[in-house]
Amino acid sequence: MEKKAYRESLQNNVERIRMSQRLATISTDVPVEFSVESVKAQAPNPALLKAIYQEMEFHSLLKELGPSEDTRERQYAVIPSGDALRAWLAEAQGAPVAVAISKSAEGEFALDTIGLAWRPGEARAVHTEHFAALAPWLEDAGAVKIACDVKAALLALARFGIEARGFAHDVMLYAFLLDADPAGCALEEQARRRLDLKLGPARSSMPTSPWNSSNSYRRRSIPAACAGSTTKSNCP
Amino acid sequence: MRAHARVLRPCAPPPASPPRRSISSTTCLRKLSKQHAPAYVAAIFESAEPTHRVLEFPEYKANRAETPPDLLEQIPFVRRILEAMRIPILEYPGFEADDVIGTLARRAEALGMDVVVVSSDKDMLQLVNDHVAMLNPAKDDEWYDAEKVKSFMGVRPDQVADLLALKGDAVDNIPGAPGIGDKGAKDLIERFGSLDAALERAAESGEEGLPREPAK
Repeated sequence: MEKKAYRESLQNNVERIRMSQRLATISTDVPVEFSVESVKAQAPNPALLKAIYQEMEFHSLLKELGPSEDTRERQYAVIPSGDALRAWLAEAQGAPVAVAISKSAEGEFALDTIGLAWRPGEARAVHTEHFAALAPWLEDAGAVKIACDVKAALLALARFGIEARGFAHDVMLYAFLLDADPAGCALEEQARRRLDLKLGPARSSMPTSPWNSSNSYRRRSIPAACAGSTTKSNCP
Repeated sequence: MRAHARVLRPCAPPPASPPRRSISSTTCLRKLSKQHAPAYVAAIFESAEPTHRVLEFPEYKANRAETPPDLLEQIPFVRRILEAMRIPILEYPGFEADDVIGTLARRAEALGMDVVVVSSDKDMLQLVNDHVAMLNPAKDDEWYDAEKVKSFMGVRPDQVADLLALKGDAVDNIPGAPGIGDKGAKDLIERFGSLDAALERAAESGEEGLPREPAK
């Protein structure tokens, strides 16, 4: 019976089966214009890819692409004196000042330089010899400051007897609030994700800056905690 | 040295929120480009205009649910990713992507290339031969050569369309022959070799049913 049913189905549905055959058969000769050269494989366009990855917040893919070349003009310098420091801070006229404090890989605070910046493209390095001149400003609760990991900054400064106040903004805290991603909170990662910039040792990334040429950038006294540091530190 | 060509369909994203779909399509394309390093590559998009199948049979694919809006939203994104990856997008008004892929695969084959069709559509298995394979990224990158097609579909690649025509295809709403089903369709194709031969023999056969001669 079964075979008879097949035969009858085939006999009685020829047109339907033929149509099904036409629908199911993929054409291999449609008249489309096409040149092989136009589909030659090419390397991706990194700028376009990066823009999409940034828009979609594909952080791991962005990391693979690496940061863009940073060719912006910068004005970086080492503060030569207490007077120069006070004059430079006065120029800020109350604008929030970013305070950068380095940390060794071991988690110990290795503070011999404090970085300051209050406008894009410009920064100053203050070495330990001028910490005393910087202390009143650091301890002034009315002088608004920004840091990444304020708690660590306060601890590091406390080791120098500085009771810092006025840290109104913590970039690390904001990063966590935005992404809830502990791996994305470090300053290096924030710079990469949000600004497409690579933070690195000052001297290698700024070959013509005063930081590079000035011997005063060299540490005069190496704090013990810094001596053993290996990476991620601004320690030379 | 043989060149490799690759004909991509945009990878089928898993059901998820838009960002996950996006990253799925992106990682799929990156993986394909990196792992297989094709010499030639193109992504074929479906035509928005009616194709010859719809003109012949308006119910063709008419059973399908509306494309989910969040998937539609991803299409411009997939186009941008393809553009950034410099993978050309080919679309020809009035031609179904399947037919364009079939045509390009045969043309590339004629130029001496080995072709990989990247798709999760079993219809495409009919294109497989010694120089055309199919890769299904939705199934752990399962690779289909002629042998695999035979074990998966129960028939040779060149018999796949006849098998679908006989048993029907609920996905594309192809009606097929009533009362034959998957097993009957495979039996008939195996016994007669093709749909044409089965129809011819059915017309000739007597009351006792279809003869049992093996396919030549």
